[in-house]
Amino acid sequence: MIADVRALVLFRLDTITRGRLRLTIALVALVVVAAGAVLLPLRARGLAPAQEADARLLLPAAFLGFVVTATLAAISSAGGRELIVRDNAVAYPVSPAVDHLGALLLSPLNLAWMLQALGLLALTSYVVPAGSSLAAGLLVTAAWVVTSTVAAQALSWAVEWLRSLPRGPWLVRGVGLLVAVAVVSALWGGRTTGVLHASATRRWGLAVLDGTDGSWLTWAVRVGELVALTAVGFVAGLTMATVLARRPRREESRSESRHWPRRPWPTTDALALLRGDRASVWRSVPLRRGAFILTVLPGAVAAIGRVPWETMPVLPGLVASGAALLFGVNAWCLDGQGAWWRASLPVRPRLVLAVRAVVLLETIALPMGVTLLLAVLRAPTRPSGAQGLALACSAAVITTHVLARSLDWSVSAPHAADLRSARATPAPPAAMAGYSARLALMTTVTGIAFGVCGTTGRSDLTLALTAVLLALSARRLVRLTRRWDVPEVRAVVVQTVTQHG
Amino acid sequence: MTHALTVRFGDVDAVGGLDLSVGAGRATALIGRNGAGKSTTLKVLAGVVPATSGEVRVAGVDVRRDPIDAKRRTGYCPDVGGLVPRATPWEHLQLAARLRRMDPGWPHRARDLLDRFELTGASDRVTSGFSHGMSRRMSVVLAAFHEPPVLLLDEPFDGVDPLGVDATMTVVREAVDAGRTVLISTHLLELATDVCDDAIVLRGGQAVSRSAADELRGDVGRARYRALLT
Repeated sequence: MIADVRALVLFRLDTITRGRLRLTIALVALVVVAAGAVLLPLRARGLAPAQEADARLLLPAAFLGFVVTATLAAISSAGGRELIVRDNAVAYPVSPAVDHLGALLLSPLNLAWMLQALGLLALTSYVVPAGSSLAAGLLVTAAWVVTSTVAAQALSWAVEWLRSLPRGPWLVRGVGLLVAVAVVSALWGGRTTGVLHASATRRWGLAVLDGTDGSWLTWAVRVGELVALTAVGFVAGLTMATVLARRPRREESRSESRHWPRRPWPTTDALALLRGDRASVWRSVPLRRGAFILTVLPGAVAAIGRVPWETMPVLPGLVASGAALLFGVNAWCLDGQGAWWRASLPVRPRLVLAVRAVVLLETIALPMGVTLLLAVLRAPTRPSGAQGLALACSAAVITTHVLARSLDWSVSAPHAADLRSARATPAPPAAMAGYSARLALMTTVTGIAFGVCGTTGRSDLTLALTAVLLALSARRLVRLTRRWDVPEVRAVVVQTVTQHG
Repeated sequence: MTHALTVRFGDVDAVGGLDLSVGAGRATALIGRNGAGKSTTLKVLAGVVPATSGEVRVAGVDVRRDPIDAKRRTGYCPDVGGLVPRATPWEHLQLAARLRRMDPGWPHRARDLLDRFELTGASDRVTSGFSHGMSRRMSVVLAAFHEPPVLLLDEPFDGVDPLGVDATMTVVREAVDAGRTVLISTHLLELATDVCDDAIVLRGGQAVSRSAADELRGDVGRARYRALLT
């Protein structure tokens, strides 16, 4: 199994024909950031003892947060990323065990996973008292990260298995609803602290400190428990992956075998193209599922968490980045192998680009609108005029930026991708991680800037920042449109996206 | 149709100085080995890949100067796929009818073609679930749907069952009878000689032979064809 995984990893690395330098830089940057996450908090130790004590109390919640993130990431991607696309692997003996191990290996190529893991390392460094064994604390944290990832993977296979049963999708939705109701009732009922105290993560979260006060036996037992849980989780995941591999792909098959009702005659070319593009999004299992999660989850978190107005301008960036990662970063892959036929139709290329932009805009605007509406309705205070303006400007600027950036990537770096399988992504895992990091960085910085403008009441700065950033995005869109006018550029895009399968 | 056509991909000349002229009311086969430049030539004629240099005209229209008009005059069946995965055949046809400004009677023509190619039962299913042969047949339907003056078919018989081959041949003959131009790229020599009037052999991006299709029939024709390939 390990030899097969190694061969597939090497194969994937060999297929990276461009951006090798970028990949190397990203890996070096990741090592530097990880080292910084461990080393920088060491310098802050002892400066604020009260804060350190508070941070220690946060450990179990942070551990719980990580496992929840890892689980949601694995479930929302229908079992995690694939080392090799299933349709391409049918001719080769790629076993479910290889698929399982590959999905585990690729789990860190997810920005939420990565940020949470780095956050846990930083928190551990901060709370371990000076003079104690940092290595012992970090080992517990690392073990927790591994255990959580393995358990999340096993759980995601189980959910996919459930989904593959007759009426499985409804069963999964029902279970999801029950979990959501339980979480909401715990949070709104004021039982959050009680839940965290009862959480199993408290047992291992506090083990980070066991090595620091000489409780080595307890520390060793906790580490041993995590190792044992990892082994059990791995075997459970392997079993579920094997069982799942024998099940039919019910959701994809249903989508492909149903008869779609015919629509009336489109009155304009734009409407005709728009219908086709919308169908390509909403009939795709991974896109439909991703859009649903993106519409429901951030909104629910915003509603439950009662986001203050100071940080609310960061929300548009989170949602817009997620929406762009559904298909926007490689927007022409929606046409798949039909791209040659589409290119042969007598229609202005600019209209085709504009329609694709509208569909991407819709995909961003819907979840963002829901999230912001819930956040505003549940905000703990009434906003000042400057805060309301900052939020509106943040949403407009981030939407335009993500739209322009995504379309730019779609033209300059297209990928062959078939969004048929529930696990499919519009670009290879490493490229997706790169897109997500760049989008998250830019949108978060923008959101924070608007948050500061709103909090300090500087509407003049908000408007100035909006004008500058909108102008930059507009310039990017204009340049992109000019490039799209060039037949050679379009031909390369079409040639690339039609290479799948 | 093409004069001194060159298409370069990086350092590779996919087509190098091709002169090609196909008359109206004739079906011409474009044959040759893999990489001879057949598909690239059809892509250039369809207006989906630009020529690096040279002149390209379809039905009298300069493809580079007026690509939209040129595309209105061609019907193109690409060599692979050719269908949008999550659109149904009917939606493909409706989009084509709209963008090609077809008259309100288009549904009748659409139903007729779907019926002849035995795709009526699948006309409202998304094409991602189609077999290779079904996809090929549907691609031919889309190319021929608007009865274009120039019909460009790239590997239309690949993986298609005998009934589908018959339907494709009928469409080609109807186009020829109506005075239209048909250009077919294929590896299947016998089918090419059955349905086409002329045959052009491409090698290394250039035309090395042009003859009546009949001359490549039978053992003698096959031997002659093989000799032209090397």
